[in-house]
Amino acid sequence: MVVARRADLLQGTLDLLILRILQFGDMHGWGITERIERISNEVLQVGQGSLYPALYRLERQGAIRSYWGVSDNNRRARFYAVTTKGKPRFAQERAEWRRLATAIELVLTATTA
Amino acid sequence: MSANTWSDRWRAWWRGLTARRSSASLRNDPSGEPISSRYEEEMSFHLAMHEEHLAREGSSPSQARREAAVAFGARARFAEESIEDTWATSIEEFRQDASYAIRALRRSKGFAATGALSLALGLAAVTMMYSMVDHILLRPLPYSGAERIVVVRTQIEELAEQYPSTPVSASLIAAWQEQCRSCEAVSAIRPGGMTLTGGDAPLRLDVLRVTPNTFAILDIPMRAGRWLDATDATTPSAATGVVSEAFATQRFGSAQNALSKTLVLDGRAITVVGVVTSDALIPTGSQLGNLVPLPARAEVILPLFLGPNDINAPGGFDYAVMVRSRASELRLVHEELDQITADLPSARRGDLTIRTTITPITESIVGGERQALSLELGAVVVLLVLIGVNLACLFLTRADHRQREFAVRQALGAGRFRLGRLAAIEALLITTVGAFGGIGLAYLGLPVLVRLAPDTIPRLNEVSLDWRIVSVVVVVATALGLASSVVPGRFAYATDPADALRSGGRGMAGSSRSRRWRRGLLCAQGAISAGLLVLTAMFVLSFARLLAVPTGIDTEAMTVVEVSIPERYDTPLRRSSLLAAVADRVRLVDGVRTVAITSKLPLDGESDVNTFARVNDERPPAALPLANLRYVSSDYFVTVGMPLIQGETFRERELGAGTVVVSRSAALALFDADNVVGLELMVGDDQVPSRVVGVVADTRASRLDEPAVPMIYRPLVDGVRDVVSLVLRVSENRSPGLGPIQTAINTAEPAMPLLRIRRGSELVSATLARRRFELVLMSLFAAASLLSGVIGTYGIMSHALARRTVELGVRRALGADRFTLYRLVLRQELSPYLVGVVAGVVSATVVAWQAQALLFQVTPYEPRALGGVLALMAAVGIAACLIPTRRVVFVTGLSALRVE
Repeated sequence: MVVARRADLLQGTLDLLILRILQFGDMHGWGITERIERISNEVLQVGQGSLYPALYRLERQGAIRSYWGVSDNNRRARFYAVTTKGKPRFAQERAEWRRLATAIELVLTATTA
Repeated sequence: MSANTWSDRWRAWWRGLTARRSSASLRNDPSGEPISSRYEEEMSFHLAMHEEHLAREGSSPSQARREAAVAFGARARFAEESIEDTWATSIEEFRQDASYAIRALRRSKGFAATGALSLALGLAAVTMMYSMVDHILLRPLPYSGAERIVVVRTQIEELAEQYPSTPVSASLIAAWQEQCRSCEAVSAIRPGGMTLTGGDAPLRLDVLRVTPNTFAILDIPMRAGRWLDATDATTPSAATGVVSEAFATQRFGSAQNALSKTLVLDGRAITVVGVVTSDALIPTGSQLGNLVPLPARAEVILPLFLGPNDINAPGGFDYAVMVRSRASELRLVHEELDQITADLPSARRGDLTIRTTITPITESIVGGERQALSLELGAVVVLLVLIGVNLACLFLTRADHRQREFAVRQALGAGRFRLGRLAAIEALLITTVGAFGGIGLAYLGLPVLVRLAPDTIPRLNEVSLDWRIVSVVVVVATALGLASSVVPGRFAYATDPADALRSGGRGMAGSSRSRRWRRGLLCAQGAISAGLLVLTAMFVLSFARLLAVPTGIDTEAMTVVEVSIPERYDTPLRRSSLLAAVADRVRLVDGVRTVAITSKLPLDGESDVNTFARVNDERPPAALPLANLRYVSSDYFVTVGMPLIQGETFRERELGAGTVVVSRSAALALFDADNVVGLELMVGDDQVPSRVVGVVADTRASRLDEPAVPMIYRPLVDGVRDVVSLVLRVSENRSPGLGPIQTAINTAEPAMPLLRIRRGSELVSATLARRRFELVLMSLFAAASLLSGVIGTYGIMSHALARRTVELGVRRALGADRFTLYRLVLRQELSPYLVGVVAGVVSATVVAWQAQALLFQVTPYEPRALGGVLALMAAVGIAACLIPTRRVVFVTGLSALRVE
């Protein structure tokens, strides 16, 4: 599912990242890829083979919506925006992530088994 | 299979893939916009931005384009993934599969047409037979509370040997009506004929006399007017009557017009008070038992009045009786009727030992048809199974041919479910076409079948194709199609793709599973075809043997004219002189050679049944043999071609001298002598003996499949009745029409109605109608099964041999001669088929043994029929095997190996 060259995205985390990026404002697919890469210092790379299925899925689930807009370079682009239904979803996904990260950290820093 | 067809298949497959992608345009996103155009635009935007980004980072434009494209990956894959698991996908996939299946079937027209056509034929046969069985046997009779209506007949111990059951006498009816507590109603029917005058020519009508409560028992629907009621039946001579709708329409223009009109029947005026609808189910023929021959279409129904004269007469077993029971427990009615009968004073019973028999009305009316119709329906169902097997063979063959294609599709990610579904869709397409074709054929064919059916089959006018039957057929067809496609498809499509690709058709003869299937199907093919053929052969033999029964008369170039003698000729002498005058007139008609007269012809039913005895016979009347009396003119025997065995016929001059001619069986029944001419016998209650002057050959009284009935022939003057037949021997190329004969008759007597005119051959064919119908049906089924079996067997054999091309080529290359190869193939491929044929023949023998009543002089073990069927089936099987083998064997070893 996930195409990543420098770091593999954990299953399910792409949805979380998309929802996070869209909190900064409505964005088209390319913009989302670019921002994820830039913010993660090029560690996380999202292939469009993963991105668009995730976007379509989120849209179908009602967490985001889309509309045609105009990009910075004046081209017609499909913009995505978080819906009211998407906000609690983000909180939920984020809590999940924290729980997971903490759990992993606990395992890694454990001194005895 | 040649390289050419393989490349065709590859192209087809590729077309299938490309069609899949372009059909993405059929999906829409929630906004209603085609999802593919949104997707295309989004992707091109993404690609452009990526390129721009790469260019900004210093890549050359072409490098940027390539890198972006590589990063992008396969659009197709994305398209599949981005919309997976939606319901729209399933529908879309289904649509793709359907259109793929249509294209695939269009490419193999032969396959599709064979499947659909054989299914259509089979379903049409099933639909038609099922319609008949459903409407005739399964549906309740249109009488309310039909289960409580019984037909009551008598069993006279003294006559039981010759007549297992007899009608009822008026004295019994009166006793039952009066005393039976568990009977709600006791109704009586007596058929007869009456002459209608007042029109251009006198007309003979079929009349039923019924007690008015018959109307209530049978719930007979009226088109107009009212039913007869008790007030109509208060005098012996009726003044009111009810007519049939057909008669009312023909005579008065409409049912309404017929009301209150007057009919002059046998000289008495009858007022029409009601008209019975044409679809009323009134018993006909021998449905209420033998010896009360009910008319096929009664034109007039008159009230039956049972007066003291009728009731006190000891004999007169002339009535058909129906009883409506109060309780559903029919045993009670039977016991009570038996008791009342036994308690009746001996004189009113005619000194006979009488018991009663009861038969539910449904059994009386349709019971006679049950065995034949069930057998026919059974044959049709077997035929349908055969067609299912055939379809399975076809699908199996197809599955094998497509194994590689399917393996490739599977390797590329198509699931087993999807492949199975594709096979099922193909099957559904074929069965849908087959089902609608079958229903269409049945719609066209059913009226033809009903017309072919003898009109002695009850409720034929009710038979029609209705939605219930159609829906049953559609369900059956669908189930059949799915079963025959999915079952063989399951193993053929669900093989390991790698295996299928590797073996590439080079296997010995397919997988062992597929071989087992093939053998099972071949076995079933052989069994079903052989079984149906054996049954048909028995019907053919039965019919042939029936045709070979001598009728005792020569019906070629014979015309039979039935006339009714007006009432004013009230003595036998007056009647016979009138008939002599009529015969003289008719003899002058152009084309008529000779004219003879008889009270009743052979094959026209029994009548005038009387005891006969030797002079001084000691036996009680009940122990005496029975014979039919016939009153004939002296030239009758020569005219109908009835050979005289001994003595001579009576001469006109001897009339009234008490001479008789007897049939051979009558002579045998009475005298233990070789020469009976000159001996004397007593007929019925005669006070003076009659002298036998001659012996003639036997004839059949009513049916060819019944033994000859003893006959005693007397001169016309001794007692001819009111209805007689003129037997005309006509010249073969100039047989006279109805008009001249009618004119000739009415020149002699203007008030004499001509009842009907028939050709001699109709006498025979009428008695054969039932068997001919069965023969036609069975032959149709057998022909269909043989045809379908040949197609199926050939298909499966040629498929099997195509799989063995390489193997046989190798054998040939290694030095096996053709003969060895033929023998090998026949032994291996044909043996399951032959096993099936033998099994089919054995099971058909068992069925024939059960259904022996339907067969005439045919035992279930007819060596010629069985041998013939075995030989035919073996020949078909060998041909089906050798023709494709020949193709393979003639290929040299080398080219066989190059085949892939």
